[in-house]
Amino acid sequence: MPREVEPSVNERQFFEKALAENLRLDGRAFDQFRDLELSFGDEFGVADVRLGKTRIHTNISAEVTTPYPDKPFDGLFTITTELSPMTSPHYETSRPSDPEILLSRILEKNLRRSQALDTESLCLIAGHKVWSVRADVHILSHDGNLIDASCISVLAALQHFRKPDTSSEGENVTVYTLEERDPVPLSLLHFPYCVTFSFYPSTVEEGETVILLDSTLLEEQLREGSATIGINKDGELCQIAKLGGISVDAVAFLGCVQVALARVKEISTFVIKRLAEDAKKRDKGDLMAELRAENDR
Amino acid sequence: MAAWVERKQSLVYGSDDWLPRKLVLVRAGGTCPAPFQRPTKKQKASVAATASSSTRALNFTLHITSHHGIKSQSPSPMASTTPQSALSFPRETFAKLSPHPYLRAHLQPTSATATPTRANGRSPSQFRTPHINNGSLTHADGSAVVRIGDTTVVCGIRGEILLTSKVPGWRADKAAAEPSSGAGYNEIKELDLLVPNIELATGCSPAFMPVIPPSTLAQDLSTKIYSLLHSTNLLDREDLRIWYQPPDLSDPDRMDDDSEDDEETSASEIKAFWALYIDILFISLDGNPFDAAWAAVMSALKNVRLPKAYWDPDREMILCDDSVDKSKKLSLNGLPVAITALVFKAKEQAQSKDKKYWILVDPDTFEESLCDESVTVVVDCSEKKTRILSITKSGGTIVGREEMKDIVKLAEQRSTELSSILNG
Amino acid sequence: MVASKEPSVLLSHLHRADGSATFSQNGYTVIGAVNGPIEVPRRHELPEEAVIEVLVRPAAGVGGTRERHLESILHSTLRQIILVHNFPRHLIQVTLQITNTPENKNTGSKVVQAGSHLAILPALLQTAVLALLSASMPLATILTSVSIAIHADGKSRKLITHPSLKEFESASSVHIMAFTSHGEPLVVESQGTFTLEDWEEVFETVKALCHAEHNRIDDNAMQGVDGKGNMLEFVKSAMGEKVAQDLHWHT
Repeated sequence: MPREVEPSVNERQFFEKALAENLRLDGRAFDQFRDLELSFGDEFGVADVRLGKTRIHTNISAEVTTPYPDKPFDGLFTITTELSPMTSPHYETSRPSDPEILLSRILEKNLRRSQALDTESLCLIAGHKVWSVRADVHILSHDGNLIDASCISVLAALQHFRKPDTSSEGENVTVYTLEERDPVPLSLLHFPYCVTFSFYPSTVEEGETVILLDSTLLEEQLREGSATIGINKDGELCQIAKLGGISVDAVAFLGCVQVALARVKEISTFVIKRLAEDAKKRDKGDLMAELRAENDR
Repeated sequence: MAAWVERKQSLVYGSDDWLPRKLVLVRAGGTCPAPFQRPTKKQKASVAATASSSTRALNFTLHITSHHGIKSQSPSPMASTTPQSALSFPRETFAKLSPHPYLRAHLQPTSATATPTRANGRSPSQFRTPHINNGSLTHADGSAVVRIGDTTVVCGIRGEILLTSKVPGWRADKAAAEPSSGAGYNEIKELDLLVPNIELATGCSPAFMPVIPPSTLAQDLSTKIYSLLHSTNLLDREDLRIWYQPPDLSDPDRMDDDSEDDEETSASEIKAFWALYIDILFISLDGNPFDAAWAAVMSALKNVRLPKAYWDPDREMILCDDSVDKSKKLSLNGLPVAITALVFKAKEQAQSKDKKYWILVDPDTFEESLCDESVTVVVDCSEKKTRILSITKSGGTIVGREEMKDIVKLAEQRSTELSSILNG
Repeated sequence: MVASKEPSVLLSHLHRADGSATFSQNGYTVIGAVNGPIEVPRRHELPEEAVIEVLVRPAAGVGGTRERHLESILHSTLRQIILVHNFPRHLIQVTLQITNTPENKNTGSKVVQAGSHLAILPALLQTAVLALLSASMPLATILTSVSIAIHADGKSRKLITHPSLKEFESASSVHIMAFTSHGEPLVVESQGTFTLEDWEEVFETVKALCHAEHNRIDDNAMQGVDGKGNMLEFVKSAMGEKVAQDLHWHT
């Protein structure tokens, strides 16, 4: 299989020299994100996120299944990520690569373990029928910072998704088609977004570690360490993942958390704005009024 | 020496464009068979060979045909013993070294008297004789063994009961409301009541290695069988329903009688379905897996006897009656028969100008390895007018309107042949 | 939401793939990426031609037997149009990601839709060809693909080009055909109940829709067929626009 092209020595030196002069190759500030673009599909639960040249497409689907016997009251929520050859030819189809495993683990911790989606609300009949919600994360183009982009994509898609309405009488559950009843949104408790920091050792003696936000693929290949902070806009920390790499000053790291909080506030405002725009676009006739009535019940 | 071999070949095949590329490759690898290793002795003979080139070419052609005893006009003494000269190296060697020219030499004999015959002795439009044996598996509800040439398939069908209470999203109101309408809710499709699975067992063909996940071929075949089962509407959905009629004051004995009058049984409900697990196992594979698998599925479906199942309200479960008399056969909608044909092109390269081609029906493995374009036609001739149920073709551009007409005609012929065996 | 029957395409928009295209028609959207010719693992290597790897990925869930079946159709088709003998011992990867399919209102809660997997085949074929063109892969010919549904009820018979999913499922027979730019049939997938005459009529209709030859003589008349343009013309104009865009500095 072809291997990923490694940055050349020249690129490396150029990049380091630029960093020493407080410059990034694309001219951004150290804590600046690339242009974030978010669009929704025609169907519910389809979100397409572009962060610079990174592009991620998420599709949410739901079906009724039987719950796990040890968790009869919990619905299922699965996130699948696969880096296909579309992203880069060196990813093999059947064998998960390291970045892929890392990505799925972090998303899992951030969204599933933090109970962002209330799995108990997915239960229809305890022990018999629950909703199984599935998020398929398709990475279409990879130019760094997959984790943050995927996280935005999944959360936006979850907020956009509507599952079919149901009613239950005793043991019988009726799942209504979209014509019969308007679908209902998922019950999401909070929105923990991820912010990933890349660390570079200082080129001068005793200097401070350089910290970059939203690194491109080249910056990721050249970094000496990274940390991902999962936090919601209320400042509740959901996860911190610093997997090896160079050591970072503890106080500087606390600063990172502050930066992450500020970024997450921006991101969630942006996502809410886009969701509102999309809802407006869909609001043909009095559909919105109906939906609202549905939600009140 | 390469040039020498090439010249000999062109003499034999009567064509000047044969590319001895594979031949050279093999020889360079050092694993060449005996006739090539002794060129020095034969070199003298080659002079004589050039002199009588035309007769030699004829000899070889005759040698091939006489092997099958189809056209043994004058089997030359040279051909009976091998290897006599470098020209008549054994058939197997020819087939392995240069499969494409080998098959082409059969289909395009240099002598005018010999008819084009495939390497396996059949004419291009000749099928292999099918053999079908029904009900040989004791524990399956229906089974069949189909043998077409060296392709042997076993198909076993087993009915399992799927309770409606176990079906997620089951809508009692929706399914029961419209039992006869064609469009709309189709539970056989929606609930996946037909589950075909194909296994190409280790040892059925040298190409399959043990302990690997299902090959693309197996997955491809099961999808084809699956979609054909659905698109032909072969099964009557009523056959797969298990009804429950709550005890009625006027008629307390009636349990699951539904087909006669739907008005009266409005209170009855579907308690369960039969799900048919159709397992298809290839014991040996020598080409044309789809036709054989489909014939096996059809034959096994005709063989199925589902026991009478009923809902026992006291025990709240489905019970089966074990008397054979009460068991029911499936009513099948028609008798579709599948045939596959390949297009063998005179030129090996896909993008060549030479448009000569042959259509070979019911191909074996050797022919499959040499052809890109394949056509599968499924026809049902059980009624007066032939119904075509599926036409699929891919891998080439030869078969157009006219060719398809001929293939459908062949399919009709094959259908009458197979139907008599399937019905018998 | 009513899906447009008019095709639309976006070319070369993924920056890391050698060629890419997003094609939508009839409510189906497929993103295709082509990488190649690249190195091939030794165990898959073919000494005389390029290995073609086709990967079809569904919008939801993991690929199953249906995707394998679609892949095998695509594989045998693309092998005919790519000049595989030009790249011995190389690999050409074609990845097709389905991102949007028309909703099936009957199922509502079901992820996997049984059957009807052929409906997406024209979109997949078209995306693959456009992505190959975007990757500047040498091709022997290009292909265009159209699906047709026949609704017949004993007496009357109606042909619907580019049927919607509902029309597709309720049709008495459905036909998917792909023709090369020389007007030769390359792929035929017909399903349902039909006669040879039906099939021949579909064959000629699709040929007219895919193939441009008659078009040159009487352009307007062809456009009149079902009010839809010729697929080959669509591919040509899409590529023409792309080239014009790439060469906008050049005048």
